[in-house]
Amino acid sequence: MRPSAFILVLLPLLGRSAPPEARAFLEAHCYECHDKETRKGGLDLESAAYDPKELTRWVRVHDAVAAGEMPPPKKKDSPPAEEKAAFLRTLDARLTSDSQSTHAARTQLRRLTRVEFENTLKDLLELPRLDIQALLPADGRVAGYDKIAGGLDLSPGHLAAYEEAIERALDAAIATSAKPPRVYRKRVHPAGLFKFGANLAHGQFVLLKDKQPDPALPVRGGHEDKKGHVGFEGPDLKDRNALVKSEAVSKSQSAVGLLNPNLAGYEAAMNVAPIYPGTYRMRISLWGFHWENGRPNPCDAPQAAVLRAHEEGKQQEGGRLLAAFTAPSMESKVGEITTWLDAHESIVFDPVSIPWNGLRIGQVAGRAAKHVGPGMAIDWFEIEGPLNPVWPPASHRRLFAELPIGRHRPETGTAPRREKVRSQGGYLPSMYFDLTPEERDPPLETVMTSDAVADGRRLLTAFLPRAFRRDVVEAELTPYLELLSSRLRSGDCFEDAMRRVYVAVLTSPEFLFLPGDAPADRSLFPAGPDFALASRLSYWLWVGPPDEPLLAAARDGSLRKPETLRGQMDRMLADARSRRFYADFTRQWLELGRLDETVPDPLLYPEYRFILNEGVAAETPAFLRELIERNLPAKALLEPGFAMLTQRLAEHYGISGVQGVEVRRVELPKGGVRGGLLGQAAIHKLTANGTTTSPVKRGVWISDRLLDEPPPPPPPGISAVDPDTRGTTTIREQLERHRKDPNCAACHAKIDPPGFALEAFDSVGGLRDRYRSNGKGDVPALKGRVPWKVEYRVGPGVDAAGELRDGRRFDSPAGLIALLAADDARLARAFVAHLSRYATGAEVSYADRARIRAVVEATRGDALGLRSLMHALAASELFLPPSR
Amino acid sequence: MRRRDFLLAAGACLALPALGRETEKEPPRRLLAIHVPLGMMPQYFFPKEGEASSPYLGLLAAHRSHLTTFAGLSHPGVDGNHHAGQCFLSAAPHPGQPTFRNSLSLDQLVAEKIGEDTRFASLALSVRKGEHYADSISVSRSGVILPAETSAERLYRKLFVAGTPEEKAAAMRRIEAGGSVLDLILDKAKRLEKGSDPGDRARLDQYFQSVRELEGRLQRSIAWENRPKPKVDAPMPRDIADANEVVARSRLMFDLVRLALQTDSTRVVTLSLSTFSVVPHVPGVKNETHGLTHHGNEPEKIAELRRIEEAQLKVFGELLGSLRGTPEAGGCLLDRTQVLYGSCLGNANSHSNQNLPVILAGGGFRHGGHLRFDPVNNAPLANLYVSMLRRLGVDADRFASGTGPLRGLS
Repeated sequence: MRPSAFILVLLPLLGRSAPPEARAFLEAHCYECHDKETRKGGLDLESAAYDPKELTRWVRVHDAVAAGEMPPPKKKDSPPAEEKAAFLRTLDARLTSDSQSTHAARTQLRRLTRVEFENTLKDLLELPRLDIQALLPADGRVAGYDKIAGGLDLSPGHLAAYEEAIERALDAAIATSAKPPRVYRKRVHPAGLFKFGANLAHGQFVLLKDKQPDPALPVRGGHEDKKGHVGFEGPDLKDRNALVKSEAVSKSQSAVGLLNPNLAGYEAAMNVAPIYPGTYRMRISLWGFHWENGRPNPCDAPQAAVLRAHEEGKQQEGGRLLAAFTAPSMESKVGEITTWLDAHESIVFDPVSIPWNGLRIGQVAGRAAKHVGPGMAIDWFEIEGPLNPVWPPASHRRLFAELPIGRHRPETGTAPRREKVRSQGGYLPSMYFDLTPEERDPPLETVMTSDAVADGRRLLTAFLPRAFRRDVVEAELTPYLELLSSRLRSGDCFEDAMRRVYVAVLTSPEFLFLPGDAPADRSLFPAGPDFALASRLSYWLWVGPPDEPLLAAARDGSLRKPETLRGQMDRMLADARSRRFYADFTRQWLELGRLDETVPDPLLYPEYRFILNEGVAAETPAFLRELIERNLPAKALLEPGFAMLTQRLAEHYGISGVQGVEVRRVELPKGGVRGGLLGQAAIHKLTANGTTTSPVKRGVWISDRLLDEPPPPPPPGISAVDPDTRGTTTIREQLERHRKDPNCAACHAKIDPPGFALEAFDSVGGLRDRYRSNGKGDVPALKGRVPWKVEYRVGPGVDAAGELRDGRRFDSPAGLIALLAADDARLARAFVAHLSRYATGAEVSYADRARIRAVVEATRGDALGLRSLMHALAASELFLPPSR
Repeated sequence: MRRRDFLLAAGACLALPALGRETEKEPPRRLLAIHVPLGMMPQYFFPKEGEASSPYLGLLAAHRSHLTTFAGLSHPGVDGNHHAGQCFLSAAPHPGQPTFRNSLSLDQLVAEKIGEDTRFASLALSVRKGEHYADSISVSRSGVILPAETSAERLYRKLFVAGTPEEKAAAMRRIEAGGSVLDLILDKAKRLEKGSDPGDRARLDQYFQSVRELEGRLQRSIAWENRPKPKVDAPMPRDIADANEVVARSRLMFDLVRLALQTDSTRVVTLSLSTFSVVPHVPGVKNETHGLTHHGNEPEKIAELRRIEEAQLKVFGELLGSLRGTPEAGGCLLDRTQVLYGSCLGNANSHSNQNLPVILAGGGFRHGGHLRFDPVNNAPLANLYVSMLRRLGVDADRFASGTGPLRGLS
């Protein structure tokens, strides 16, 4: 054996110190500070063992030298270029080969994640809505991604939770009557609604006819005390209450104008709650106005309102958003939403663009008569449903095909469980009162069969391949058919027996697991590896199961061909299900899941209300969609030249001329900070804590999420900064130590500066040149010129200047953005690295770097377009499961 | 005999502890761990140098001789501010990091050891559902946070309300049906494991073990189905709909916990008193709690937050009073119940996870003191857990980052 080969063979056996090829370089340029004795920053390179399984430290050494950060340029002369290149080549080759061999199969077998499980059930059963994620334990994460096998354990708790979730899905899917439930249709005029009446009496709401105050109920005013205040009472209230209850008002078809937002959730309930779960069409006629001089006047920009559905018994809590509507000035507009409602959800209206300044209209001087501010009017509200164009619905037919539904006969087995038809709990009247006695207590109906085993076999033959996401062989049906027979023998009716079978299918490993790259994973996919590719694609781009066209391409072997692969990906991105990818990927990549972790201090940020939060949350995923749909270059992540805005978000950013609640693309002039990731309020908010901003947190976010260069964690024992919002010291001043102490500066000179640039954005993403405080400071200039109450002060000035580790300077966020956008290859590599974790479900090893570089280079012709990067990733060995 | 029938028969014969502990057997020992996710302001909680009490501890003066307070304890490596809530009983390090893996919590270890003899091995409770790191402090062996029950009504039903004969028959059918499903997937798991890749085997094994464990639970539930639930005098509580009534909800849960322990329905309980996103219904409080904990040293915010924290401590004092007032085996319920009350945050304003406020009451320890440890190099809180484990009859020298029992506690 040749001597050098002998050494190379010996090395793994010795396992000592750095690779000898590298040791000469380390001795010459690194040991001065990083030897056994000195151990600067805690790093000892002299006695550090080189363990091929623990490469992190040596990767860092490589990266620090490659970036010119080490040896520190200011303290030492740089090593000669040739020497440095040789050292890096050697170390790179070593790290590449070692990281390759420690990774058996790159992508490993894993179970479905929580959101994947929900989407898979939903798609499989064609359910319009399924809300079961909360039943499942949270997934673990690796490098911030829940798609990686290492984070996805399976416990008895999981199995039990899956079973409960499946039962809920089956309950929603199975039709319990031969005929569809009666369609309920109602148009509601607001004046007669329970809470509306009370508010009309008190003067928070006003009765309007033909866009002017309705004389049937005068606008409330007068009876102020000496200080000019009124309370909730008043000598006129008794008469007003009687008037509101009289037919002239309670049966009036006049509009009602709301001058207050919907506080506590129940102030503006529509008094309708469905008895049957199903798809409902809701329409509402709305208009906005500016209230002054006791009547509606035109307003400068449209108002916005939402409809929410509150879970039964929880009228005051939460509520889920159904739709947002734009209410144009002084002009009735009908908004419509068709969506699934669960039984007994109450529908509530909220005029979210009306700011709340702490007092109800009824409590301030003059009430409605003297009030000045924005308002919104409802002409009427309509609901129709449950809409069932086909009966039984598609979800039922996925389980029981065309088998008839009829009266349950006891001799066929024990009766299936049924929820009772009932009225809603709570004080709101409901549709229950319109039901006939037979509808209230319907006969027990269920699926009928004349040959249970034959029908069971037929149903299972259709269901199993869909559930297993591949073709199945006859033998795979056997255990499930045996279960069916056994349940029938135990006395279950056909519906219940089949339910057991479906639960068994949906808790089987073929359903719960996605195969990895290991050849042995074929046992989960005996039909062929291209089915594994189909699933890998669909769980990437749809966060859900493959559909029939994708499976067909897998079946005939065309999916692996580059043109077919690209074509399928484009089809999938154009499909509505891609919405799930944009939401789930941005949650994980950009940490958008943390957006609602904190509530901004209402005194410091009174402008931050629900409707702004909606725009903030919508911008980032819409932005990524636009970039990918138009195949815009990687550079556009930071400098796109446009922004995805709603009206309220545009106002927040100081961009005029945008109207309406929908998100749309707005072109922006060059040189601004808005539009790209670093100018988006969602990023600013999730890296702040609702009161104060942290350059360190934002700097870490940029390093980790944008550049894929996560900084090492802080050393143990570092005391936390005690934030002080009394206005005397800025966070930058408090972080001085990061600059002064060389132990801190080693990492923080790289982490902090980008965060300092972003200090120009406050906790809610607004631009600032002075810090807000609740203590000392000056009165802000915009006080009195905005619709919300400004009580904060402005204190010390913001210093957004800084210097990157390589010496380049910036003095504003625009400067930082330009510097980072210049290196678009770096942005593209980071994007592909993050995307690969999500799409391939594997951590990025050192050896993968070369592959990622190759993916980026392959798209040079498309200027590193994001969609091209996705195509190139899908065609690379990072993504494709091995074929045989 | 089919495997399913054999297991069913075995389940029906499963020996359960004899009804009624009034026999010669010693009364059991129990654990109640309560977590206050948003902390307690250190300047009011900890006694100053040389002093015995503090403004907050003064509220518990009536119970001083039954509790011990601690300063200078924390979990090494547990940072991540609020995320540390999930590690309060597990001490798993670095919860904020993307690579975080949680580990078995103290209460679940105890449940494994002493939970077999009660209807419920443990109960995880909470006063509201909100942020995952504040909802529950119970963590399974596989690092999964166990969801907490938030409804007092549902809990009462679970503990004390018997099913009708139809409900019981239906329950037995469900168990039986569940068993058939488990049989099927167990078979599949075994077959798959045989041919699987070594790298993947661990994951398939988890699946296999999970099914086995569910089978075991099924057997036990058959046995418990056939056994009547305890009778209590207290009527079924009604859930309080308003999330801001967090103090009233705490009181309600505390009552149920006492009943659950008294009837030996369980011996291990965890309870999370989360006030995130809540404006507690306490006089003088107008702002949301989490925002107040970031008071930035402003006096008005501190004063408002103090009202909330004092209200919570008062309710805790009521709980101690009720445990002391419930007689048992010549003493009181508190004698044999260890009550841990503390937070993962030492200082919510700075998000510090060091110097945690911790109280231990009852359980038969020698109480009355305040144990101080080094404020700069904290002692491991898990050492306290080791002491607790031993007192519960679990033979343990270590637990998570705990290296031995806590000095000074006996």
